[in-house]
Amino acid sequence: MANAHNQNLNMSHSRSMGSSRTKGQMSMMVFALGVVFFIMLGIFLFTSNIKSKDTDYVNMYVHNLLLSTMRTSTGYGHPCISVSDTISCAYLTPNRLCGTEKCSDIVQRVTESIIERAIKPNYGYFIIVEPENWDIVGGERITMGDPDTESKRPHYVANEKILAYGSNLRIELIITTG
Amino acid sequence: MRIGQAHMMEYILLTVFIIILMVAFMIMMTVFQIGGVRSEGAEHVYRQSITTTRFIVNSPYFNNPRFSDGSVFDDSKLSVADCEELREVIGEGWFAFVVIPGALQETLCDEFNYPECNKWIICDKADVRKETCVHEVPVNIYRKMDDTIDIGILTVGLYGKCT
Repeated sequence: MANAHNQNLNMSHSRSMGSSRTKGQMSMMVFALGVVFFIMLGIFLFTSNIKSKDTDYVNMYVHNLLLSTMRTSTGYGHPCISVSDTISCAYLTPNRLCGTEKCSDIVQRVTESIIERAIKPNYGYFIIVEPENWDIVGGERITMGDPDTESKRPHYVANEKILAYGSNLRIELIITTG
Repeated sequence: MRIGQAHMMEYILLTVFIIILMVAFMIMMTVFQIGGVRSEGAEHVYRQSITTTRFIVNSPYFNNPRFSDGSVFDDSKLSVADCEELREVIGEGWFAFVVIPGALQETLCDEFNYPECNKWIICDKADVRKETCVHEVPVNIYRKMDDTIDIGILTVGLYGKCT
């Protein structure tokens, strides 16, 4: 009789121990879930606060850089008065002389020396000159600067057109800021 | 009795955990609120700096009328720029200058050395100790005496933090 009573007591004790363990585990679970929730909330708030606000400025910079470079005087006379004149000459009439040199021989040097004077030292650049609808019509392309710039991210692009007799030229300047 | 105490302890611990979580949550929200206000202030300074730069780049006050799309500054106009006049239009708290890059030595332009110079101060930086939000933009300088166009860098700064 006494043994049976003891057994009953032991059983109820172990049951209550088991339920308190379950409750302990539950509270641990609640705590762990709370911690996970706050970590996720923190990550969400942190990432939603990150904005790439420099985009406006770099877009303005790249457009002004291209436009200013194209308009700058080269020091040569007609037909290479400005950089855009020289590019146009090198593309359409490459053998024409600017002073004593051919347009096609000076275009790279002139354009690169002007752009490198103005561009920020940590920026990279790549210039592509091609006829309008190059992807359909095809034809020659003049490129200047670092070709890897095109594949780097983020990069910023500015486009201009040179209206030339016979074929309009499309000029694309790509820069990277890092 | 022991089981009851254990239950009580459990509830107390759970309550303490919940209170800790709530306090952590409140601290986190406050930190983000402060961060948000600061970043909004910086964003405002940044926008204002960009707007001021765009205004100067396109202003007929400096631009040569031959170039309708702007950003070709006339060197003679730059040489006689009046900062106070511009501050009446744009407001206070900014500075700007233009430099022709690549020269060995910067020579400030005035009425005595024009056109043998390569730097124009539109509005001088009044306080060197203040934090500034500075933007540089390439522009063209029309050299009136030679009838040539050179490349220049316009630097515009606003007092305040924008990063």
